[in-house]
Amino acid sequence: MELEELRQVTRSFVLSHQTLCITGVSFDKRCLVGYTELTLHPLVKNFNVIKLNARQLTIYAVTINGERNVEFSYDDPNMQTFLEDDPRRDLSSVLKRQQRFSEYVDPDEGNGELTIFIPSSLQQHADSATTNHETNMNNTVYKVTIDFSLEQPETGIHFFVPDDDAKVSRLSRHLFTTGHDARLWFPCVDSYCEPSTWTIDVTVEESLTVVASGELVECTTQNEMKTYRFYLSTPAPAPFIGLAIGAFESVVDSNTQEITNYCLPGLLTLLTNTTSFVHEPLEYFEELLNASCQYPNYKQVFVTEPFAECTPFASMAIFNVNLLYPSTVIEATWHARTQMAFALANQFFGCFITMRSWRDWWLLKGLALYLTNIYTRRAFGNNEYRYNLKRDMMEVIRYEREENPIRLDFAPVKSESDLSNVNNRRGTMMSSHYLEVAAKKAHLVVRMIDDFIGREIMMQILNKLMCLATTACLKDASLSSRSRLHISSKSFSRVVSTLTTKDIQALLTQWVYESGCPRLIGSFTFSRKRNVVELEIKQDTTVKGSKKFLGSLVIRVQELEGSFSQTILLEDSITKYELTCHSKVRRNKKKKIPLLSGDEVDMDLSQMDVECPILWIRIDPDLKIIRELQFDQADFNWQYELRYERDILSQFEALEALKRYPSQNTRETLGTVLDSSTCFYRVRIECAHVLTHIANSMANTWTGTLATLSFFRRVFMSTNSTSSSASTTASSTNPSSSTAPVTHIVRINDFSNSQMYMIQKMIPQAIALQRNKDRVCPPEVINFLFELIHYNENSKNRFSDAFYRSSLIDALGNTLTNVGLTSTTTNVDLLLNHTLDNNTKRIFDEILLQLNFDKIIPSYGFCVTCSCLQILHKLYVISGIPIDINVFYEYAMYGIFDRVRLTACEILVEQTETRMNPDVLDYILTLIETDPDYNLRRKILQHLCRHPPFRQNQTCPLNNSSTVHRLWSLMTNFSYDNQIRNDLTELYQVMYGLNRPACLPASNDANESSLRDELDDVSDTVVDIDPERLSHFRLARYTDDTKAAATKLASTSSK
Amino acid sequence: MDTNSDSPYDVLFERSLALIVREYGFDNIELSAYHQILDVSNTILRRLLLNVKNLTEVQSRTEPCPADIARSLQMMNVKSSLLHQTCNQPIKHRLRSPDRQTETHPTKLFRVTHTTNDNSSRKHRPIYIPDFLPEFPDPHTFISSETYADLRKDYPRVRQLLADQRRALQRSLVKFKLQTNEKISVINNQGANINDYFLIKNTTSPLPYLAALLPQDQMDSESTDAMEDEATVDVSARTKSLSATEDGEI
Repeated sequence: MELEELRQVTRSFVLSHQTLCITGVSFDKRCLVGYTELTLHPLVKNFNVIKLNARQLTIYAVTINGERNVEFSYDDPNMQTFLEDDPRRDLSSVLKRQQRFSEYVDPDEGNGELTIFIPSSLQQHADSATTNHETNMNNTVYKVTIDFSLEQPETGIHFFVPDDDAKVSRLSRHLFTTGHDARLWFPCVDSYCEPSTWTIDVTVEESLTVVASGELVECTTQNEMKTYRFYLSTPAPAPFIGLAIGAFESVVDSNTQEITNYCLPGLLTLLTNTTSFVHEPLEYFEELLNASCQYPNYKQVFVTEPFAECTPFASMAIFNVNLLYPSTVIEATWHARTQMAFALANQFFGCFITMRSWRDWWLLKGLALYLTNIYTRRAFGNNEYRYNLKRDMMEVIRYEREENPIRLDFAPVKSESDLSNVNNRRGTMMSSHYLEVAAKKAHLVVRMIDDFIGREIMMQILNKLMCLATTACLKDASLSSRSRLHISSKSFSRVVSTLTTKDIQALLTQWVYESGCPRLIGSFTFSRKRNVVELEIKQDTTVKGSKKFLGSLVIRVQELEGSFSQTILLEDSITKYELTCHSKVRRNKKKKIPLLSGDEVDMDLSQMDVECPILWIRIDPDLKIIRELQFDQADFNWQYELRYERDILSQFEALEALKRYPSQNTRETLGTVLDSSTCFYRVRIECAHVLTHIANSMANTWTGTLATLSFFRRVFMSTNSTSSSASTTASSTNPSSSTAPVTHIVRINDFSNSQMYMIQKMIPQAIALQRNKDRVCPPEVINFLFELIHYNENSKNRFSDAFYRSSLIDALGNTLTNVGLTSTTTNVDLLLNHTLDNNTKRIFDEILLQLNFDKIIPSYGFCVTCSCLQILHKLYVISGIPIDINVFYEYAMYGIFDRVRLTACEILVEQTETRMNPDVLDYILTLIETDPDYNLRRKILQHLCRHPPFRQNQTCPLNNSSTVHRLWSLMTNFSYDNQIRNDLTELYQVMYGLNRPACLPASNDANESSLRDELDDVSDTVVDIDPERLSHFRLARYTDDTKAAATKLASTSSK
Repeated sequence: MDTNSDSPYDVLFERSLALIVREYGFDNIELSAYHQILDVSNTILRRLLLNVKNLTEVQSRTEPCPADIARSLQMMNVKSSLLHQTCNQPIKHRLRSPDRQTETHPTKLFRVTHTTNDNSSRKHRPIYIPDFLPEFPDPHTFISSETYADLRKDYPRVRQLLADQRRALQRSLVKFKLQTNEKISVINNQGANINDYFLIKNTTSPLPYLAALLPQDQMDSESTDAMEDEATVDVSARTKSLSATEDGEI
């Protein structure tokens, strides 16, 4: 019996088709009304109860197979997770409760908030026909219709309604689904492993456009109302159903008719520019996977205030409007394209093939990111790809070391483990920062699997998965075949082991089922007598989040005779290896040295130890494992590595190491690399930074100008004494010689070479960090920066210079130091006119000018304003100019562009961190509580988690009971928005730990423990109840009990 | 056949004569003979026109009329029947319209330098002008003088001027806005009287993303249409230029 296969989950029915019909949408009241019809096939004999998911909805009536007003009960235990009147205020009990409650409504456990009791007239009785009950059960279909409405939703659906009545504001009203919590906007089975086909009917005013998952099959107009009917023939689970309604402008992709893009009125030109490339990743993925996208079309909608930059749904994706950019802006391209490619990758792995449960979250996230990165590697180049890889790895390692070790395999559904460890919590309880870093780790792990089994086989496996899933989408496919639409870690490794002989289980154990990453410390000596390299690798397991790594590691040795790779096996904490050397020591022989890339180069080997033929050694050159690496070799090794190695990762490693070796040789090497036009631009920028670092540590003996400064003058500036220009940037008019003294004027902007543009943009920031021996920025540098700003001329440039200008302002901020600021005068007048040094005052004036000017003529995304605000804050913190805090409030208001608001809010958060101003904290918490822009709320909260005003057990004037109560009531308020509540929990944990906050008076211990026992008793019985009908009443009892216990405790403590 | 001469009249006259000669069947003509004909025809024409002029003067008119021409032809013993005959002959060759004269303008200057030749700023009147008439005005008001500035030599100055102008514009615009709009003080002045540091007060907008995503700061450089045409080229060029130094291993 095929339906039996589906009983991996304990749901008692299978959903084959769902109709979602939204009959009315009101923007003024922010509500929508509709009904949904689920077609259910029962799996059990005594099918008498249906459990569905639904939150923040009003359910009016339930009809089953035409029988009206069926009895149902609807209650949401999650509302009771945080109790306003819980006197204990500790997280551990809350987390425990949250865990139990989320199990309690988990659809994969056959649970839900909405319980429908099937009337006995419709029930099949086991005794009716025992002989043919199998066939009977297969044929029985329940059509459950639920009338519901959604009013003023907190999350799930976001209404954007500008509060003025201008025409364009009315046109810009829209709504969209915010995430993957389908239960928040319609009754459904909110599980990733219950795919069904969909019909979506939406009736709206004639002026509005509806975009939803599926294919638009019908559009009828009646009485100035338009009805859109979408049909999704490819089965998709409810969380991936997306919807967006608004007066969108649209453009069909010129290359692929199946792709349509939508945006808000007035932005059509940007939309055309931004989305012109989307067919490329689609074609690329189809070619790569050798399978076509299973959705008949693909829609991209750009909306304001979405909860994430990119939210993929089945056959559509919702993006932040801020991703749109005009053709004149250079920087925005990379990010926007990566996001769109990611959404497209999700159309294959993520939305089409879904995860079975939260435990498999990493696999799908990792696969989607893996595909995205293969595309971006092709589009933006290998260097960019490797750079991103390195950056992600660094972030993962930093997070594991400093915050929480990440275990990708989230806790199983039924866990009784210690919740103080983040890794024991359920996927739905993770904070957004954790998920963000975990996604990066997931990508690195999938890449490891790819390395392990080979790219070609990896693609075969993905193709196999796609093919299997495709068969489930055929018209005559059985319901049970739909299980091929979701995969889990286990099924994935099973497919791998059947298609290859390799077993990835060990790899998964190391990186998925356990947390942490190794820290390797390596060093080497060369033994001339035996001509071997003695390599020693230690593993430091004492640091937080570290973990012993056992497995193979690639070592690449660059010798005089060429580059040689060897694989060694790490077995112990300290391992020693002897690598045979392939080269003989040569003396005074001029011979070209072959590199790995096949090039042969001349090197000046005078620096080197004549006894040793080793130029440099690299450990794990291709980032095959997630590791923190510390490798010791002499400074000339690093210099050679930086100069001659072609791999950018190696160059970055060398740059990082060279910071420790300030010397004349290092200075020369850095100068050469900065100058070489064949080098990747990010390496050159980093090189400029390291050069400044070296100059600062050698400040006392440093002579001459910084190589970076002279490089910039040579390449980007024109002098009127010598016409120096072998540069790559074309200049418009080259000055001829004259008698005047040498003046450097920056050429008029020409950003047509984007590498040079990036260098031109970033190098002033590096130069500005220079300090002379008095630890202040040399006046020469400050004048140079002011001249750059003064002579900036963009009228002949095809590209916008907004980001260049904002970068120059950042550079001005980099020059600020607090050296010499001894006076702590409170007299503002005295400070500004006498105490403050001239340059700081000049910077202050310039910032105000730019800030005001940007308000009159805005730059793209107000990037200049953002930079100016940050520098104003620096002037306040470093130079002591008493900036009025109201300035930042002014920019944090609703109605300002969100990036500017975010910058202002981040500054305010940092204010509370350093100055502990209670008013500012109150302002921020109010924003988190009431701001109409939910995206901003999240961003501020995440920033607050990283910069809390105090950490656990720190003394701070803000560490008091009123802050505790404030935060607690915030958590109580966010009962629907899971993500923001998880972030709040994280903040609470950072500030107070898991137990009762220390600043609160100790409560009666005996009472507390008895209360806890009581709660545990009750909740234990809740977990494994079987007869569904009873469970409802038990839940009711449980919540009553909690309340009773709470009041009991309150009364005893008041006594 | 063409000889170089300066005035367009001469060029045109020579060409038309050459055309007439060709009309009569000559493919080649010796240069001296041609000049002879040129002189003869010139003389005839001059004579004819002189006659016409005399006739008009006799009749105290200033403009000639067709009858004058007919009469003077008669006086020169040209038979009008012969003229008719010539006119009726089919024309085989036609004269090209004369080339457009390209006037060489001196390079347009963006500034006026003072004239150098005269020491006194005003020209004295010639003696034949009676005293009661006013003096000549300043010469720069009626005499055009051509000046040249070596732009290339002055490049830094030009850039400086441009930058100064732009900065002055920025400053005055900000100043103007500060005077006309509401403003907030940047300094937390705690009673002290400091009025130098102000910010224009923000105006909130219901759709703040519109102003941010459609910036105006690029408008003066080029027309946006041209930019859109190039947009696709740009993008591919940009991607290419970024992966240009791709040298990491695959």
